[in-house]
This record gives sequence, C-alpha cells and structure tokens, in this order.
Amino acid sequence: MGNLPGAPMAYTYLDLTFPEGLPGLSKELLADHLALHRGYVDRTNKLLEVVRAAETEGRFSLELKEYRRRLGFEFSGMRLHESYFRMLSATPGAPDPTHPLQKRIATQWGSFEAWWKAFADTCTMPGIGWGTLLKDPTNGELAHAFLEDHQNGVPVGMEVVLALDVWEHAYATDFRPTGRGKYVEAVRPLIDWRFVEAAYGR
Amino acid sequence: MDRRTMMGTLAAGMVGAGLSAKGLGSDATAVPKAAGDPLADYVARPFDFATGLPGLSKELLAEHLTLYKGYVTRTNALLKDVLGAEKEGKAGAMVQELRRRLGFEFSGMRVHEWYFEGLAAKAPAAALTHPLHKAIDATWGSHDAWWSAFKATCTMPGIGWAALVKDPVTGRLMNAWFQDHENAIPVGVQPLLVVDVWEHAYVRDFGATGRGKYVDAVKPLLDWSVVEKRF
Repeated sequence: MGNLPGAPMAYTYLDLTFPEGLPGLSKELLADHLALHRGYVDRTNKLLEVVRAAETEGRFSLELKEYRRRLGFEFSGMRLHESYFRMLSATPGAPDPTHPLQKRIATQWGSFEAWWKAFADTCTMPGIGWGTLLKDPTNGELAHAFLEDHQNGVPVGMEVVLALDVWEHAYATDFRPTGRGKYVEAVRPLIDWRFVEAAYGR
Repeated sequence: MDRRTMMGTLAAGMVGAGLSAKGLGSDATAVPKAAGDPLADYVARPFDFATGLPGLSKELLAEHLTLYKGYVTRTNALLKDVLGAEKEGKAGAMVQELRRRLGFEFSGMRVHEWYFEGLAAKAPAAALTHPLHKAIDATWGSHDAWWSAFKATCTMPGIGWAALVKDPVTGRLMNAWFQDHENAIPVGVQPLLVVDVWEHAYVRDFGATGRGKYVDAVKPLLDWSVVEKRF
C-alpha cells in the first residue's frame, strides 16, 4: 500500500492507564477494558487501509463490500470507548448548574435526579450496547438513546454528550453479569462533568 | 408509559403509514403541543420538486417527500412520548422499547433532509479548488476513483444509504454504508453526501433491478456547493 496517495494518519491508542483502578472499578477490569479498546484501534486502522487500497485500485468485490459494512462496528467501538474512558475520573468535576447543558437537563427533565433516573433506565436496557445522552446540534435538544452493540440504533446526526458502556466486559469482573445496575451507580460519581459539559458545548 | 402517551405514538405511526399508502401530503407542524412541553417540534423541510428533477419523475419524488414527512411526524411524537414518560419517572420495558425506536425515526428524518438538500435540477459542479476535492484526491487519487468507490457503496446488498463521511477528529474521509437508516453507523462522523438506496428511492422509475441506473441518474443532480459546505 506504499504507493497510495497520501495515506491518512493511523488512529492511536489512548494515553490512559488507570494503574490504581478507579474508586468502585478495579484496576483489573479497567486494564482488560483498555486492552479491548486497543483492538478496536488496530482493526479500524487495518480495515480503513485495506478498504481504501481496494477502492483506489478499483477492486469492487463482494468481499470489499462486506468488509466495508464492518466499518460501523470497529470505528464506533473505537470512538465510543474513547469518549467513555475520557469521561471517567478519580477526581471528577461536579455538574456546573450554570452550564447550558445543566440548564437544558433541568428544562427537559425538571431536575438532575429525574434526568439521572431516565439515563440509568437507558443504561439498563436489555442487550449489549451503550447508554447515551445525545444532543441534536441543530437545536441543542437532548435525547437518550441505547446504541446496540456500538453501531446500531444510532440517531444519525446527533452528537454524543455522554456514553456509558454497558457491554458485559465493562462490569462483569467487578459486579458479576447480573450487576449492571450496581455498575451504573458506581460509575455515576466518576463522571467528569467538565468533559461532558465540553462535549455538549455552549 | 401510560395509555395516552403510548396511543399518541401508535397514532403517529399509523398516520405516517397511512399517508405513505395514500400518497397524501402531511403537515408536520400540526403535531399538537402539550402544555409546557420543552421540546420544539421538528418541521418538515419544504423541498420543492413539483416538476421533478432531470432523470427522476415528479411522482417518485412526491411519494418520497411524503415518506419523509412521516418520519418527521413520528420523530416528534416519539421524542415527546419518551420524555413525557421519563419526566413522570416511568422506567422499564415499555419506555425502553419506545426509546429503542429513536434511531430509526430520527435518522430516517435527518438523512432524508441531507439527501433532498443535496439534489438540484441545475446542480453546481464541484469547485475543484475546494479543500474537499483536494481531500478526495489525497484519499482516493482522483474524483473519478472516489465516485467508482462511492457507487460501489451505493450498490451494496440491502436497503440503506451510501454516505461519504468525514471524521471531524482527524479530517479523514470514508465511504460508509448505513443499513436501514440507523444501523452499521460509524458513530461521530459527519456525513457530507448521502444517497438513499431504499427501493422507494428508485423502483418507480428504474425498476427493482435498476439501482445502478438510479445512482447514475443522481450523479448529475448532486449539488456540490452543499456537500462542500458540510466539509
């Protein structure tokens, strides 16, 4: 693939390690989870370059089409994990009631507690995936969505404000496979609202 | 979820289905607004293809716009019903399954808007000095090589959308396939150009096996000034 026009830069691993774990989440769980993320980065890079090489050379086989279909899984798996790990903090910023995100939450749900209850309900939906708080950039409004796996059930055009991984790998080591609800409550005090509020913007 | 809110969503779904069957227009602004409702209604965008577009019949486009309006109506109803249930502290299976539907309805609304926005009877040609085309050349070698790859994306098996997307983090361009409207999505990318390849987009004019001809017919209708702006 050396002769391809200007090969785009490869995606890189996160510069996070959580060597001590996080309060409520063990270092073993987090180390395993970060290893999974690196797999998504590797597979996304490989997929994008193989597909682009075939496209550039005009090889439009069925294999290419099916490999391209895989992009949503790998790319979303990479990007959502980045959002998740960067949102977690041992010393998180508290919600800032003067930030437009918190005002918007209050406008739509009445209170932060009412919003959290709805978000936690989204995080405990049957199936593997992500509980997300999303923003429609055209009007600033918020909605909850459950992204199935990583790439399905996505409201296209909305922006991820907060994404909570509820695949079993995110919690089974510490909370057992039946402990998703406990895990979601354990993550709540780790959410760095500076990061989440920046994702919403102003 | 109480019976009233559930019925609201079901009724909106039935309205959408009925309209598409009869080919009648709908006014998405007519969705009743609950008192103190914090959500603004989405309004169906006024795309005017009354005389058709070169290569696409006015009948096909009129039916397609009717389907689009159904998505707007159902998205409004769905968002209001889910938020209403959430504000009442309702949780569990009924509201969860309603929430799971958001991807289909919202995406169906938004991607149709990007598609119709990007079609024009007298479409401006690509401004080859624009950074988008430099990025396309840098990625695929030439505009023609990219188009061949994009057309191959348009003809992937199944119903859905072909999309040229940009990763806003790195600027990287990719051709992506959206299954239905909401599945197989690379989350977080910006769509620049989308082409609808559900059967309703072409069967009337090109037959069930005519997807490739339809894609060729759409090519000269693509308004590159819109695509360039999204980049």
